[in-house]
Amino acid sequence: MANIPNKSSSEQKPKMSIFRFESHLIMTEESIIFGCLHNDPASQRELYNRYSPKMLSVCYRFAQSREDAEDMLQEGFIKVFTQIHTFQNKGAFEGWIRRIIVHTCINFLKKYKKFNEAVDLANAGYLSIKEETMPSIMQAKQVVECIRILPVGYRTVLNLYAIEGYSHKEIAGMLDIEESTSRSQYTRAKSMLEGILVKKKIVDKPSERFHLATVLKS
Amino acid sequence: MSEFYDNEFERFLQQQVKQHRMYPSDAVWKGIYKQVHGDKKWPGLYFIAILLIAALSVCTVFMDSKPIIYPQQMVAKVTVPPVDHMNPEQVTNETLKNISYNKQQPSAEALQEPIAVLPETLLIPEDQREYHFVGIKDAASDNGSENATTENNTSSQQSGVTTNLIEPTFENTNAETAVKPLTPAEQKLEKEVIETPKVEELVKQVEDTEATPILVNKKDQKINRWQYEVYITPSSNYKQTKDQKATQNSFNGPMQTNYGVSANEVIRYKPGMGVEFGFGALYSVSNKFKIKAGLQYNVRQYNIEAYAGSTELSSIVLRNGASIATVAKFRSASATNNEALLLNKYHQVSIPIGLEYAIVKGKIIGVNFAYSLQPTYTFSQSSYLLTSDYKSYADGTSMLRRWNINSGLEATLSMNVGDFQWKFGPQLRYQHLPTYTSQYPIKEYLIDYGFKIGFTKTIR
Repeated sequence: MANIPNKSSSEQKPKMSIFRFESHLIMTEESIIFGCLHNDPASQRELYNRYSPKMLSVCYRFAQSREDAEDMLQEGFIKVFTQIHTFQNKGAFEGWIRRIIVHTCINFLKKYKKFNEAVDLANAGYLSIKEETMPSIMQAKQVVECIRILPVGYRTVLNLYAIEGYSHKEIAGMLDIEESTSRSQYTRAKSMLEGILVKKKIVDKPSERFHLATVLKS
Repeated sequence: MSEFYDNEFERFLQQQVKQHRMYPSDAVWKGIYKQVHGDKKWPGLYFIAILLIAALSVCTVFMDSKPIIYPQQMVAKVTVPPVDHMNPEQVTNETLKNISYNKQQPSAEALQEPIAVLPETLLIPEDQREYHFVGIKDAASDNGSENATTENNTSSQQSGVTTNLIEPTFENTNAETAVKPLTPAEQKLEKEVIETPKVEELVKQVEDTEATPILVNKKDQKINRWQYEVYITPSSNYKQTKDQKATQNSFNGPMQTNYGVSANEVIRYKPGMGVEFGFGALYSVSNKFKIKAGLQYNVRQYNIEAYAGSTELSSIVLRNGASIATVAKFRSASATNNEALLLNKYHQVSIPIGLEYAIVKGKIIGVNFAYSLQPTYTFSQSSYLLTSDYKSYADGTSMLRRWNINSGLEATLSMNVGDFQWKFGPQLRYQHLPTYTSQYPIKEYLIDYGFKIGFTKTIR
């Protein structure tokens, strides 16, 4: 078992999870799906190895902690393996997995009532953003961490709308809220996130209209 | 969804998030696997359980058939009947002498009780018992009877089986005949009987040889060629690494094999402590030569000294030219001091089949030399292998060679203690095929230096 000293970041992977074979040259997506349909452990492992890093990132954006994210991922992949016969090849396989994972995340938040914790904007206004808490590693990671600073309600709506591409109508259905609530929460979430990104110096200045070309730092 | 890409903010977030990756811990996959395929426990536990159960069963079965040992002394003691079973009127001086001898023992009951586990009746078959008259002859008996009695006694002495005496019989309990005075013929007979140095001499003989037990069960006296053995061998586990030159013809790309140095120079490892235990059956072909087979469980392990670093894409180039892309975090060399110790641990179940030769075979101590060939099944949950650029270590469990062949060499000192022959001595175990599949270009061979401790016992 690997003994890793000086473990610091929450992003640093725990023991025994460092390596993931991605033998794209060996197994095609079709053969993986075929194997998973026949409940073949090797194919399932291959599928998991291939998509779990992306999907854990999705879960992490919704979750309160890394542990919650891993629980969501586990639950999501169990659904993937048990419901893979419902995949009809009408779209990207990754998209199908992603939808299952996102729904699992939402259900997880509902189940553990984490979704109702802080949805109001008033609390969000007092969020303390400290620059030093954000390690300057990769910009993508910084952005994800900024999203995770948002209150869970805002974060969920923002994730679903801006990143996962669901409409406000779909979000309202998923979260059991009004469509207008989804819209207003997204507006507030977006405003708050812009402020955080500016404060973290990921973007230069806030603007009503986000100009990517001018705000991105190298 | 139509408005999604209309907004640059959402596009920005999309692009950033798309690059983000996180790697779950192994517990996640284990949880998934458990849910989908059921709870699969560590297979080694099954093997250990099977080994233990089988070893215990073998021991139990053979221990239960322990031979019944009945010392000569005991056999002699029971030749004298308890006092309360005798007719007092038929007691002679010789009888009293015998009784007085036995009174030196704890009790009459104790004398009749066997010291071994089986009752007396099972100890000596009924048809093999011999009965001798120790008491005087009935006065009414005719000369023929007297002669017969005398002959009986004489034949017993001649045959030398008097130690089998167990129950003297006193046929005449008639009070009338008992009170009659002895006739001259009877007196002569009594004298003969008394003078016969039967019991006294036997007792003396028994005392001289009392330490030597008699194995009454004739079946047990047969030498059995079968033995079983149980052993454990703590060992120190080393490895030998060889580069595969054939890889030079393979992949030629940005992640090609590093030919500048050998793998031995790159991999820094520390030997680990392993153990093997098992049991087996031995068959004596001759006095010194045995063949044997059994079942054995091994744990082998060693540590690789590495450095933990950032996650990087690496590659394992296979001998057939294909490559496996892998994400690796541990480096073989690093400028940082972020040291990590990677454990390569293998569990093995093998069937050793071999030969044993007794170079020296003394009454108590001997020297044996043994060799065994061991078809082996290997499984591991922790294994790291060097990537083709020799810069990183990647998970090697999926490339593990399941079936392998090992050889075991041992030189043991044996010591006979009771029914057991204890053995201890050095042992060498070598793995003939590489740990990983033949496609992996770096060949690893495991070597164990151990010290064997075990015992063998003849199966009766």
